[in-house]
Amino acid sequence: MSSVIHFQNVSHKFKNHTILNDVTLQIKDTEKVSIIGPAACGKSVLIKIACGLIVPDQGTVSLFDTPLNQCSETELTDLRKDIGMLFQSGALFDFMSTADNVAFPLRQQAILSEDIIAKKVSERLDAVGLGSSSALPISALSGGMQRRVGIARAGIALPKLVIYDEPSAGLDPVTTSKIYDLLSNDQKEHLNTVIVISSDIESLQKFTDRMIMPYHGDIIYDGSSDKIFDCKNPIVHQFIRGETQGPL
Amino acid sequence: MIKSSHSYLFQITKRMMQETGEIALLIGQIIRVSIPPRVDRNELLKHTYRMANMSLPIIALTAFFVSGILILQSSTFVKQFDAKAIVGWATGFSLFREIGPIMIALMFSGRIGANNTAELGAMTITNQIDGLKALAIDPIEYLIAPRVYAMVFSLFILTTIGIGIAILGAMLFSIVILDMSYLTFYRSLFDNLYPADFIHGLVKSIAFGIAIALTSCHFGMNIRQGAIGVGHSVNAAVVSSAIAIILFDFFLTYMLA
Ligand SMILES: Nc1ncnc2c1ncn2[C@@H]1O[C@H](COP(=O)(O)OP(=O)(O)OP(=O)(O)O)[C@@H](O)[C@H]1O
Ligand SMILES: [Mg+2]
Repeated sequence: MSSVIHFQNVSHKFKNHTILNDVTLQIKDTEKVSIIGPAACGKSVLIKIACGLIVPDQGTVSLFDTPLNQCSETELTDLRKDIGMLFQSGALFDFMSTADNVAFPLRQQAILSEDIIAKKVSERLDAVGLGSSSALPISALSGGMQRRVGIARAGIALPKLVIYDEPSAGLDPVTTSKIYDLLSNDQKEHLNTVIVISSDIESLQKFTDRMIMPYHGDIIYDGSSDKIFDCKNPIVHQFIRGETQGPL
Repeated sequence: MIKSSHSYLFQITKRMMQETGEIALLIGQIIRVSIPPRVDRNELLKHTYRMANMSLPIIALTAFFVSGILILQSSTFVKQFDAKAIVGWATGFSLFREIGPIMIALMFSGRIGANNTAELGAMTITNQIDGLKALAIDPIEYLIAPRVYAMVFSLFILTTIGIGIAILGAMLFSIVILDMSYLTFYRSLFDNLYPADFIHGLVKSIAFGIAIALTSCHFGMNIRQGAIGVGHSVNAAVVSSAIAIILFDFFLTYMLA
């Protein structure tokens, strides 16, 4: 299995706030990984570093076996053609309609005809329960609807790596289950690599095989999703049980 | 006191040099995506049409009344010395070479430049620029370069139209206020002015367009603190482009004289 993301001795901090401290980490092809951790522990920054949106202070980050620090802007753009991403803030384009947002990655590939794109977009929007909202502008959607549009857009071009930052934030339990089913089916069909950031431990345990927990610069848990409840680290122990007493 | 004003001056100079450096980098990036030329003609026309459409009324209005002001200001002198023969030349000369391009550029900066900074700023703070990058789109190629070209292009067109309106206005005002004949104005204008005077103004308008486009895009993409930052950036963009316009004007007037 080839490596999709490879961090070698990566360190990064904002002013005095250490996000990653000499972290080495590898995510391989077809893996399903979740990243968990308390608020502001650096989950979103970690994935932004992984796709070259933030350049780390030290260390080497490789994406699809290509070291990013040796890439030109154009090469980096080429690498990102194989990534789909849901940003925590949605990052939907408000100068386009809902359907155009979802169609955007396909149009950029310029492979499919408009007819086929339209068909795929409506299938995708139906899958996230937004079939009837395709003509609406982004500003007319609720927070949860925007999140689902972001999910639809992230996966539509069947990228080799899909990253979902908080896919279930603001969604009700039923919609959340449907979304995870969709992610799961996508992954089974296309065998791509999926990274999910979320605090919904229960859903993550069902969907992902591996969990990673960054905390104060270190990776304090990196192992199987099933065994995380056996972890002795007091921070991990407290976090996954949601207890109020403890080091957090 | 002296020390603090020194350090303030130092801060300002440092900041200005930093911004100028970043704008130079932006120029490099725009050149990078422009070789070979990949400008989408439809996109360019669409943006140009939108920008020209947005600012035409305000520019036409200013051009018309500025010409009126010129005539009013000169009226005492013209009447006193019966200097009607130079009215066409004097207004044409100042409108073509100086007042036309600079007034129109300042209006354009307030209307289109500020709008562009706010738009890009809102996109930056809502992560849409990162969103484009993550979808393998180069924001410079997709968002910035077309806007820069469209702004330069539309300011050029608007300057031409604006100066035309101002000249017509000056003619009208000189007939009404100075009791001049249409022919006197016309002769004075066309017998004494050369195409070079007009070209002088258009060269300036291109330089001003570049200044407005670069500053407004730069400040739009470099927003630091959320919605408040958008306000600060729009402000900084308008002030910086006004300064850039005046400086460019000075050096171009010097070089083209
Ligand atoms: N551009 C930035 N400049 C300065 N500090 C930043 C920047 N981006 C993130 N940070 C800081 O880095 C820390 C980690 O941020 P990050 O967004 O990764 O948190 P997170 O783990 O995703 O949290 P959450 O669960 O709330 O989304 C935060 O303390 C944040 O203030
Ligand atoms: Mg986050």
